[in-house]
Amino acid sequence: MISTLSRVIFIAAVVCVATFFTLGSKHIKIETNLNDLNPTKVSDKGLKFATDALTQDVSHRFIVVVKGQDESSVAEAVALVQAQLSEIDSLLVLSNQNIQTSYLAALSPYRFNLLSEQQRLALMQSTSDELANNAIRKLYQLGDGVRLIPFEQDPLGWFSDYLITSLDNLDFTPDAADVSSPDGALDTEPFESFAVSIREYPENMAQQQNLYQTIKSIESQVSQAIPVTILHSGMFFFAVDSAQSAKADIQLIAIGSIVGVLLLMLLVFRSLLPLFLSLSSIAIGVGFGVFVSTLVFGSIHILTIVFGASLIGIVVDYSLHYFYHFLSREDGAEHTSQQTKTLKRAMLLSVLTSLIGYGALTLSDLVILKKVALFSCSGLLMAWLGVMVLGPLVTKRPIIARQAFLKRLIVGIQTLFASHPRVLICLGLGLACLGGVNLLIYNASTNDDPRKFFHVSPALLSQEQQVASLTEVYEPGRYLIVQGETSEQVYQGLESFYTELGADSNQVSSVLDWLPSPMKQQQDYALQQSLYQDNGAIDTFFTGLGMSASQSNAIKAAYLGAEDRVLGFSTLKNDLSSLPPLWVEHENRIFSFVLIRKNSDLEKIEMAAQRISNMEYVNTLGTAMEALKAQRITGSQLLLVAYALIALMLALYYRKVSAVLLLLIPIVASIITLSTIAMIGQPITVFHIMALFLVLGLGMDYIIFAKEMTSHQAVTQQAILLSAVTSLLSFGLLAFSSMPIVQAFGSTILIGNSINFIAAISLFNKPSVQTEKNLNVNA
Amino acid sequence: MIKRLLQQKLMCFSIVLFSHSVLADSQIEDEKKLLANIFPTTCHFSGQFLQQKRIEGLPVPLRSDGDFFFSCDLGLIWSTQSPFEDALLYVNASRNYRINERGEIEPLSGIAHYSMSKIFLRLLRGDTDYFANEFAVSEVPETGVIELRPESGFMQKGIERIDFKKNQSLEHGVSLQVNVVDATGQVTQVSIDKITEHEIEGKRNAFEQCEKLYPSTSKWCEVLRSPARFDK
Repeated sequence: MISTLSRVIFIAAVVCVATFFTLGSKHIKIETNLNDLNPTKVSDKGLKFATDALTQDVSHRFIVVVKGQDESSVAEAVALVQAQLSEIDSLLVLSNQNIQTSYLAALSPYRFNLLSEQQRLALMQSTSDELANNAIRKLYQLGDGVRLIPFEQDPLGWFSDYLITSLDNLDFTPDAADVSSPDGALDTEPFESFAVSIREYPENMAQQQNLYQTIKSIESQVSQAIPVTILHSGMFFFAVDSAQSAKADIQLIAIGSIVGVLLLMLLVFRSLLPLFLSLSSIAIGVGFGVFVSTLVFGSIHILTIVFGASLIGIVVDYSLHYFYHFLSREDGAEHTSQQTKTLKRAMLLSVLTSLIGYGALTLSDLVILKKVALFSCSGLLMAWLGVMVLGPLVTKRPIIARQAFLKRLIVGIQTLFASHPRVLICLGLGLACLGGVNLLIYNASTNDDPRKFFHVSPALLSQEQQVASLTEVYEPGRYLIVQGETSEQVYQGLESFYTELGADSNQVSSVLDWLPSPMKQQQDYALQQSLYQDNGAIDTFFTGLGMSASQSNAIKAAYLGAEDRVLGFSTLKNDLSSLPPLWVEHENRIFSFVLIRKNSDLEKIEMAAQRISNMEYVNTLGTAMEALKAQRITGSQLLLVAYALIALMLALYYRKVSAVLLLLIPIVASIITLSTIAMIGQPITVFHIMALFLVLGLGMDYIIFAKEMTSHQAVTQQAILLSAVTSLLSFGLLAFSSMPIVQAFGSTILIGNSINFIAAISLFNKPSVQTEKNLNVNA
Repeated sequence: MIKRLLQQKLMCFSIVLFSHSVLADSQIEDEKKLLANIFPTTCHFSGQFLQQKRIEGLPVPLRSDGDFFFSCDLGLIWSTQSPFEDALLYVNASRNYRINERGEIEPLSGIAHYSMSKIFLRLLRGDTDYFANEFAVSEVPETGVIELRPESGFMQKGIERIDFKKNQSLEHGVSLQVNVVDATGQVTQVSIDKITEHEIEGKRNAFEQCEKLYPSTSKWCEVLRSPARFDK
């Protein structure tokens, strides 16, 4: 009955996977977003929506810096790069000039609502005559007169002054004179920078790579034509670079594992049938993993594939154990139903421990580990089911394995380690104790900085540092969020915050710098009445210039026509798509971000924010580091829980408390592994801790087979050897990855599992079987 | 045969390249000569000016006059006497100040001032290299006018054209006319005359000369000497 159910489930799954890959392969999206490594949980849905909008906007922009010997060649190169980038449909060049032009066009109709602080003071303290005279004096000044809108629309020049002052305060890039290069030397070369928005983010790696190469090619062409240096910076470039590293890792691990498995199967079985089953189970497992991941998460993360590629080494274990059990007996005897039952029990226990190991990764708050867990568990389960369903079809024909070499190898290993099992046990326990003392006393170094989890090409990192030193106006990863149900609440929060900061309010940038609140706009409109009323400043101004007062009628009519006209930030944002998402509206709530300028008094800003009820200070890097540290600590605690649960399972299954002692093997393996990693100078991360769950799962896998299959000990040990070789091959390849997180995972499992294997193959020998084995080898 | 043809082609190419480079260099040298004829020859001088601005949309021209003092070591004082008293202090390309109607010193802000003061200071300093590199310099035939048109797109965004004309007579001495047409169509005509050259050297002497010219407003000279003190 169970067997029929397994077959039905297996066939249904295979049909689903085959249909998915045949008809829906276009839905397979490979994701390269690096945010999945951030464990920070935001429970407030609105806040999450707002921060996601900000994160997405930031990740969809990049900065281009052009440096040269003189301003004209820089300007020429900038124009050329901008023109060529603008030809790419998916990109939108956000030059300062474009921003300023759009900003001017958006504010112009609301010019009577806008006043600078200086203008407000002047309106309150000066008479109409004084205001008119000042405007006339300004008109005569040398250098004055760049009017942003025609004279008729702004005769007093107040709107132009307001806008020039605002743009000065917004200050998109620092002065060249204030800029230092990353090595601290003053950078005096003139430069210009501009931002580019990726309107349509490339969906797959090939498109991303294509866009990346196009951008690089444009930069290269321009820098060859004009003597300038072109630099770029943005998360897009890091994502493409990481994806390329990951792609290389995937190729190395997948090809290495497959070739290893193929060679091993052909060398041992010299038959295509077992090879067919092994490859089928790998294909079904990996295919099902892709299908389930796409179904649940909508895409597959690139790191999931890297980790998933190592699954090949685990998946193939089931077919190995299965075939070894059904090897043709030299004495011609048939396999008893009891032996088959024992195999099935061992197979079940084996998959359960692996599932527990991989499933434990879901306990982490890291989205990436949840994705790896889902991919691996679903893949393992289906590969196991594949072996259990297809296995009987393959074993109908006799299976012969070349055992002589494997036997010799096992004897060699056992001579080395199992001659004196008690010495081996004592040595293991002794090393574990020393390792534990080493970890506790010398306080092994740890790393919770997410920036160090990736491998970034040195060239890209150097460019990033240069661009940051030249153009970074704001503190990276630190900002404030103010929220409210109405825009007035948000603006009040911001205004109170600016008041708290006092003169230091110029250290932050918010919507207040782009647009005053609706209430302030109305107040500013009312204040300007003294300018545009009859016999007001405007009449005196025209008379003072020797013109008729009637010349002011048009501007006075324009002022009256603008009554009750108020510009909201969301409207401004619609007109000015290049604006960063400082204002996010979601389900009747408004979230507004405040950016902090570089070299600001962060402590003062944080303290001031604490005094504003609807404001929150966010330090994304600090929060992420704290969260990763918490993950590392709770991960260690959960590992202990996992050990306790498996201990309980062993005690109940074997009905002996001493069975719990089996866990000493993965415990010793884990402590020695961590101690070795610390000794070679690798800081311990959450990924090392999470890999220890697999050391437990895979270790128990070997131990259960070694303990359960005592009736076929020689054969079981060969299966364990082959299984260990494939697993160590996969995880060994992970250990050579260029990505620190993948390397951490691989090296932990490589060391830990090697210890598990030595113990499993050396500590479960019966003297009678040992004699029988020696006889077989000698024969 | 092919090799020989290639060698000939390479030689021709080299000659073309060389002649281009020589032509460009000689063109810049010619432009510098034209500019040197009209630019000030000393580093410290004072005089009087007459300014006329025409603003698009404003039917009347804005005329003003006054005096000025320029020193390579200090900067420029541009003091308007009529139709009202006003003064601008240009220290360098990024530090400029205005004397308001109450006689108080206030910093000038805005990109327009930066670019305009930058050009004006370079003109008075006689920076022929800058103008020859940034502008296409030509002489308008039979007028004595030297016309400068910006070459880079960057400069073209602000300025359309600058005209210089130098007049010299026994009666009035040397006078210089500068017309600036900006990108918005505004025309500023400045006529400088009654120029007195000061045979002094160093910042200290320039400061003392400044105090002599502006005894009642010597604070302006202090601004030019130590602008940082007046920034707040």
